[in-house]
Amino acid sequence: MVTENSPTMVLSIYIIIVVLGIVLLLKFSRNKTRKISSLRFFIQIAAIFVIFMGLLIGPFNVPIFEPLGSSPRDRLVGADFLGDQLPDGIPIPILACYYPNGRTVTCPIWQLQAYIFPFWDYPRGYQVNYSTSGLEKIAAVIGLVVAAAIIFGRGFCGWLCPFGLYQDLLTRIRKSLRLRHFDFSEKTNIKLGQSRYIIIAVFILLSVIFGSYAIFGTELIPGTIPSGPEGTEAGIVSYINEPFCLVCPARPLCILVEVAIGALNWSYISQIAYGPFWIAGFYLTSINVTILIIVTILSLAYRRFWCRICPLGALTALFSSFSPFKHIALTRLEKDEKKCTKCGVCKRVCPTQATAMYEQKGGNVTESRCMLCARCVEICPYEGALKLTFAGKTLVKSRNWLDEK
Amino acid sequence: MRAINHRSVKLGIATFVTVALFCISISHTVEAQNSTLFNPTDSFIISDQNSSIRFATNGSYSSATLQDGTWLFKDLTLYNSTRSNDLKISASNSNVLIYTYSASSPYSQFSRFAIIIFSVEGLGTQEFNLCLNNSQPTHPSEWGVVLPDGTFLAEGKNWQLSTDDTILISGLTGNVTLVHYGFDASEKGDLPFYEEHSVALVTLAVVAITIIISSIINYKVQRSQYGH
Repeated sequence: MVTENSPTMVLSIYIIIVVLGIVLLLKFSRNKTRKISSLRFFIQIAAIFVIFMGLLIGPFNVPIFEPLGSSPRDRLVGADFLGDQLPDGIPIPILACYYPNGRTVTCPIWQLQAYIFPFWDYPRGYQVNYSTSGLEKIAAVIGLVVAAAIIFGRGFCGWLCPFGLYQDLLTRIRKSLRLRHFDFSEKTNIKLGQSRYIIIAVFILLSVIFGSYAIFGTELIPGTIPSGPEGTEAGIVSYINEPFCLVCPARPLCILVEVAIGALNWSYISQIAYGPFWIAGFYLTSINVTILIIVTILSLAYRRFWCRICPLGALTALFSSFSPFKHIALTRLEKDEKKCTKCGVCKRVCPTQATAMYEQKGGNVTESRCMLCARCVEICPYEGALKLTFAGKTLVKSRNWLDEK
Repeated sequence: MRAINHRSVKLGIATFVTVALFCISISHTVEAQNSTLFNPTDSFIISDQNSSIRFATNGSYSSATLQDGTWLFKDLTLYNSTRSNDLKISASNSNVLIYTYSASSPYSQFSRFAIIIFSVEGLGTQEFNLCLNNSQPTHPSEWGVVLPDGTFLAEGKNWQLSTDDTILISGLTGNVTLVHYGFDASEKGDLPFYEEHSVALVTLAVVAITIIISSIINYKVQRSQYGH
């Protein structure tokens, strides 16, 4: 069966999003300390539609295939407008697989790994042709991530990331059950934050080891030579390319959403029922599912648990929260030391247990753990003590909500 | 009263999400062009090679000819496909039942996607030519022979690609998916430097402009804050 979605459907989805947004805003805006959260929640949901259903740019109104076991994404929009230099799409620092949107938007971690191995020096990718070298593609990805991080910083994590929304929903579930959350000790939280950089370094290193033949001319691991009888579609190349993706907890959710909207066949989910443990399916591995379950449980107990160790968050933080990028970042959390009474409520509500907005003196208090979600801003009861700014302009600031009627 | 409102809001949200997902699943099927019709009971025999070809669904073709043990279907359209395409198929000592066939996506100038899903009865050989009309021969990495458990077979294991883009499958029984992920590779060698590396250059420009503009903005903000 080949199906086709009409532009009317796209319009109807837009209308539904707007109505849903109005409903949510009406509901939550009554709560004095939830006004920004309700807006953020709406944007997160809208982002899901935009990312996975390709409402802005994507394969929404082209036929959707439903053959068994095969991907329906025969229209690669990314390839259409980026040609064969960066056909997998523009890297956006959110955990959403490269499947959605005909690859107009792609997870940078996938791209970084894939361009090291298997597409370092190989002219063909998954349905696409590469005309540039792996190094040039990697440079383009890093460049675009740097630009995105300078402009929005980790705002991507707080406001757009689908996996962030998933964890926020888990928090809402926990709250509805009237269960208290747990907090890590400051020391452990710092260690977790540091582990993000180790995680991304390890997976990039693994990609380099797998891609050793293409990069250095020496095959460090057998079966990693792309093409040839045992190459591209066989053995290790089929299964262990892009190593982080094999453990990424967001991947099963991405596939689940795409199966739900008909962009992928059900067999992508059902494949986990058979096959060896470490692969169990073509795209989805048992490791993905196991880690998703663990992260889900931990996120129920600890707010935004994954964000504390997320390597993609680390990449974004690297280019927005540390010198020299910190000094030119456009989106910032700022504090007016004179108005702060050190009540500590900002520290208590922070989903990632960031502490800079409490401990540091005034000025730019954005730190690598801060997702710019502005939860601290909306809960702070001192007028203008905390504010979220963009290019020097105040987006939102704390208000004396205790005295509001 | 408050609880009821709470519940109704939640119900509203759930309804909207359900409607959203439902809307996306609504679709219309594009009708196939009519010529000679066939149905699942029709069998295309290759008696010299002790084999037959059948289709699991209704469909149509403009012509079907048997030549040198190979059936050539012109403008073949299956009930579950929107596009018609030619298909050359041959089999020996086996019966082939075709479930799905769709080829040559017209929707992308880069992507050429083709897929045929079939089942084989009997331990013989089968030959498929999906008539891709490519300007140059395809590469084995563009092809996938996939078993129902998702296993991709490497070339040399039960299948071979010949220079005319015919896939020869041997020793497989049961359901098999043959898929081609292709594209028309454009020649980049003769392009000027700025065109050949346009994405890298644009990225460089974007990063440079972002850094310069954000530096200027932050400098101005700091000046105004500290009154210098």
